[in-house]
Parts: sequence; C-alpha cells; structure tokens
Amino acid sequence: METERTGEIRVVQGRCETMCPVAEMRLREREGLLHPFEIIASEDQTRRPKADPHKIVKSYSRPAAGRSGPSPADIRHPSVLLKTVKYLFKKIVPQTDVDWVQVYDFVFDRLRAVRQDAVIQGLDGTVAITLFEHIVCFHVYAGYRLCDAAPEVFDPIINHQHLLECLKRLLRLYSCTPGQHNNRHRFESLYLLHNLGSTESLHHGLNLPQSIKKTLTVSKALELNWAYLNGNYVRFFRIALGLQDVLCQCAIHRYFQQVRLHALQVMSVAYSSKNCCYPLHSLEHQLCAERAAIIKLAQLCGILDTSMHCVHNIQFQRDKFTLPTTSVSNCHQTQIDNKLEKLDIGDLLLGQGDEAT
Amino acid sequence: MMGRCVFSQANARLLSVQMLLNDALANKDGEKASSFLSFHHPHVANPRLQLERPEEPCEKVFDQPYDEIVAAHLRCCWAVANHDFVEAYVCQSLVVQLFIREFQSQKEDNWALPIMFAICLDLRLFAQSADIQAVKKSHGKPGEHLEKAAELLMGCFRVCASDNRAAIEDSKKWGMLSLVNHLFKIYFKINKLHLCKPLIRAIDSLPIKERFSLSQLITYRFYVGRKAMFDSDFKAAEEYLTFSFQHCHRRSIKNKRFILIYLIPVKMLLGHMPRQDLLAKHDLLQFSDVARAVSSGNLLQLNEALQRHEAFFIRCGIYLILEKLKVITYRNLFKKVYLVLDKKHHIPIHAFTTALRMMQVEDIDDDESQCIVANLIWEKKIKGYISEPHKLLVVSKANPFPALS
Repeated sequence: METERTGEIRVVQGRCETMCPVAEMRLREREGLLHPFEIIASEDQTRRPKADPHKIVKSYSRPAAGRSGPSPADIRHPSVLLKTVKYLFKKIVPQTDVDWVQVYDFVFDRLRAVRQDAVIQGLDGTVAITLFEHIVCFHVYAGYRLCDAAPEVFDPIINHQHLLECLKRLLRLYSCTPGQHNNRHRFESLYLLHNLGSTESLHHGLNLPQSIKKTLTVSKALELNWAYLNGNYVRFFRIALGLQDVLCQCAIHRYFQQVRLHALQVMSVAYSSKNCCYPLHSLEHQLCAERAAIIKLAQLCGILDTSMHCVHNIQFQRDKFTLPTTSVSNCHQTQIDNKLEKLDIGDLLLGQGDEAT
Repeated sequence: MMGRCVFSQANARLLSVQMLLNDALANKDGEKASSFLSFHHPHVANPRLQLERPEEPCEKVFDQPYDEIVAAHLRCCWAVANHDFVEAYVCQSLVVQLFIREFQSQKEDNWALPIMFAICLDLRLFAQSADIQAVKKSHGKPGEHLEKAAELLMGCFRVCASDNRAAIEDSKKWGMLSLVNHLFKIYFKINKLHLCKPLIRAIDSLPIKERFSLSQLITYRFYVGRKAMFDSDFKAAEEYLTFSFQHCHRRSIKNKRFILIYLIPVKMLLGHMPRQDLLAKHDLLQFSDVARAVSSGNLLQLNEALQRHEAFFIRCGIYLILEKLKVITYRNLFKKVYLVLDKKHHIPIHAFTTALRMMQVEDIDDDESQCIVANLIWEKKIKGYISEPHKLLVVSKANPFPALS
C-alpha cells in the first residue's frame, strides 16, 4: 500500500545567494520591470535602466498552474532571506523623499516574495520565527502609518489579511519549535490586540502556557479584550494608551474609532435628557481624541448638528443616534505618533529598538 | 514455512469474513456490512486479521472496490494493534476515500449509509489519536490530522448533500447530519468555529431537518447551541442547549453534565442562577461560587471564583462567557447601592465608585463607574439617565432595575 507522509516529502533547498536571482534580474531589466528603488542611481533617466545588484529584490509572482516547480537557484537561502528583510527595513522603509504608499507597496510585495521562498523550502525553527516576527512588525506598523490613507491607495483589509496569515504561522511555529522564544509574549499580544474581541483569538490566548499568559504584555492585551467586550471605553483608552510597546499600540489603534463610536451610541441613551449637556472637553479626555475629531464623529452619527462648528457641549438624545452608513475614517493618534517619532523605525521593526524588550 | 502458514490461516479467516461481508453487500444490509469495517466490532482484535500487507489475499477473495477497502481496513487493524495511530489514520482515510467513491456511484440508493457512519466515526477518532501521538513525538503540527480528516468528511458531506435526484427515503441526505456532527466536533477542537456556519445553513434548509434520529439531533443542537453562545446569541443558545439537555437520555450522565457546562453559564447570563442541588448532582460545584457571587453582586468573590477554577473553565471553553457575567454582577452590585441609599432616585456616581473600590476593582474612578453605569442603561439593565453636570444617576421611579429574566 502506498503511504504518504508529509514529513517525507522532499522540499527544495534555496541556493540563491543574492536578494534577487540573476535570471529574474536580467528578465526585469530587459522587460523594463524594475522599480525605481532598484535602479543604478546614474541610470534612472535612461530608457532601459540597469538594475543595481545591491538594490534589486526578488519580486512576488503568483504560482501558476503549468509552471514548472522553482529551481533551487531561484530560491533564496534562509540567511539571504533574513538579509533581504534587514535591507528592506533599514534602507527602504525609512525613505522620506517619496510617498510612503510607494514604499509600502514595494516592501509589501518583496516581503511576500520572502514569505513565498520560506514556505517553498518548508523553513521552520528559529530562522523562520525571526523572519515572520519581522514581517508581522512591518504589517502592524504599516497598518497604523497608513490608517488615514485614501482607500484607493491603501487597503487596510488586505494588509490585515496578510498580517493575520503571518501571525498565525508565527504562533504555530512558536508552539511546535522546542526551546524558549524570547519575543513570544510580544507577538501573542499583537495577535490578541489585532483581533480584539474575537472568540478564536481569545480562546487561543486563554490557552497559552501560564509563563506567557502571566507576562505583563499578554495580561494587558487580555484586559483590553475584556474592556472592549464589556463596552468599557474609559478603561479601554486608559490601558491602550498606557501600553509600553508602541507596536502593540499600533495594533490596537484600528479599534479606536469603533470604540469611540460605540461610546457615543451608549452615551446617547445613558445621558439622554432634555435638561443636561455633556461638555466636549470631558469627551475629549475620555475618548482620547481632539475636539475636531469628536465633532466630526458626532456629526457623522447624527447627534450633532452639521452646521455647528464652535460648540462646547453635546446634548445627547436617545433617538438621534444613527450608525453611520459610510465607514468611519481613522486618524492618527498624537501619543503614538510622538512615540514613533523618537524611534529608528528600521530598528523597531527588526526588534532591536528599546521597545522590543 | 511459518510465513505461509500464517498466511493461509489469515486466508481462512478472510474467507469467512468474505462470505459474511459479501452476503451483507449482496443483501444491501448496510448495518451488517458496516460491522465488518468498524472498530466497534470484535473482529479488529483478532490477530489473524491484523495484516501488514493484506492486498494480495484480499484481491483474491473480494471484488472491486471492496478488495481495496477491506485491505486498507485490515492494515488499519494492524496499525492500531501496534499503537501506530498516524499509520492507522492514513489507512482509515484510504478506507473512507475508496468507500465514498463507491457510495457516490450507487445512484438513488442509500443502504450503505451505516458503513459511512461507522468508518467516518473511526476516521475522526484515529485523527484525534494521531494528532496526540504526532505532537508527542514532536513531528507534525497540532491539529494537522484532524484538519485533514475534516476535509475528507467534507468530501463525504458533498456527496450526501448533492443527492438531489433520489426519492427522500432513498436519499443520501440522511447522512448529512451525522457528518455535520463529526465536523462540529473537529472544528470545536481545532478552534475553527467560523467553518460551522455553512454547515448549519445547509442543515437548516433541509426539509427533513426535524426527522433525523434523536441522538443525532441532540448532538447537533448541542453544537449549534455552543456556536450561538460564542456568537453571543444567548437566547438561541439557551433554546438549543435546553433541547439537548431535556432529550438526552437520563442514563447518559456524562453527556448531561457536558451539556450543563454550557447551559449553566448561558442561563446565568440570562439571569437564571442554577440551584445548588443541580450542581451537586452533576458534579459541577465549580459554578456554585460563581453563581453566588453574581447574584449577590460580589465582584471580588466572582474574580476569586474565576481564578480558582480558571483551568477548568478555560478547558471547557467557557471562561470568555463567564467574563461577561461581570456586567450582571455590576448590575446587582449597583442595585444594592440603590437599596442601601433608601431607594432614592438620585444616586451620586461616587457611591458606585466607592462600592467598586470595596470590590478591589483596579484603579477605578468616577469616570469609569460612570461608563459602567452608562453601559448598563444602554443594555436596559437600569432604567434612568446620568446627569453629567451633577454626577448623578437619576433612576426611573417605576422599576429602576428591571428583572433580568
């Protein structure tokens, strides 16, 4: 009888020693498919620019039916994969002279190719862990940085899906790779924070080994989940903005507007009275948002007249609140921006900043 | 010589099995045929039927495709006898694959359903054991075999669900619920609850959905109830779980207890506290402190109870639900504050903060108590409104704390 065991399937071993296989470099030079980030500086005006071998990075291509399996020469060696990620984070991510959406698109694609190379080789163990930790950090950071980008240039859902895929792979690697993983608590928290209130992630979090569950980061992440589920917006913002790790803050930031909206919904009922007003400055304080942002949100859900610009109070009324039909746009959080400003983003994503400890 | 002797003994055993099995197949007696392929039948313990290489003898005595099915089954017996569940799973999945192909070709007939029931049950059980074994030997990811088994069971499900031509009494659709129950068990185990939804929809749209066997219906509603529970649809959860509990056979003590583990928290959330004697009878006293704490509004006691039985609650997957009991506990605590303050209609927010501080809620202040009260009003657990300028809760004169249930 033929038996099939996954463990016995032979996998390719990457042998490519450069960030981009030579064959792909030639092809993309010939077809004019080089990204501006990959061109020799002196050639960017020519019609068929040459690739800079130190800058060109293997791009993602969809595995298609009928295409022959990849040759080991086109798959990068695990150490090269790590080097590639480092290059992207240190040289590309910090670029400021281009629109960061372009940086994102480029890095997103190249990281996807890195993942592909890793998966094809069945890479596991500590190298895979490090690799996926880096990639997760990038998606978390990018999700925050581009939170207010126009939907046609940045799709938060796609970013979220890729982040989730990487996170799940990473968490699986933790649980089946023997030994201590120093950063595990950080990424377990990111998973809990990025999927706030989800039964699946909470179930996973609750079943973590005590040594991880009891760490400050993970217990804060769990507390945030409870606050979120119970609608406790005051506690939610207090813990969220008090988090040590700025990446954890980036991860949870995507829920800020939603929690504010829920708060306004609750308050419309709980403070509904013809004689009472709610001062905006306490709202600013409780919902951790600037006045303009609160006014905009309140107008969006119908509890504040759109003609009013200079207001100090809100009069909540039970039946005025309607859930906005359009999606509520996100906005940057000053406290998080300030923290990020002081950091070297490349180091942060590589887990080398102060924040990683 | 020895080898040959064992071989012929095996052959003799095989021949007797062959006669019985072929008889059953010829008579379309699915029940009888299933027993020869089931691990709930004593033949699997017979060493002469535990064969590492059964292909050749099987080919001689069985027709296609049963030669291959029986061969895979006998090799599976061999693997199980050797406690190699990874191999047993591989063999059993082959049994299921081969069978389902044959089953699909039996147009407008469903006599073979009992065979499907038997081999699918074993498939799930072997996958479960294979996962445990593989993880212990630290090769293989947790849940890997169960996930593969689920795919295979989905294949069977598709065959049954797409049997649209046959008259209802000959329809393979009668196999759907049993498969769905297996899939539920797997999805709950590997924490993939979102995959349950399409299955529930498929069953819901069946005209025969109420006519499956009672035991299948009990299992089905138990899992649908648990799913509803995790989607926070507690009314529906209560309904489904109550059905399972009430119809579960009184001698299935283990199952009754298992259902209660989920029904009790749901009932508590809806405001019904369990009686002490019920908890004692079913060995579920873990809930007793929780229930007492919730009904007396004692948040401190609730936290202690949750912590004391944390491992049990997490293992059962109900910790999350019990966390939600805090809301009711707040309501009960605040009602006490109201009573202590002589049922005055104006209650200073600060009084709630003081109460919460007594319950050792970490860094509680007026802002947060106000937020908790606001949520209770929004959920209609308190009737009234908050006056922000005066920092007061103004409760309604009639029935300010409506009954929960």
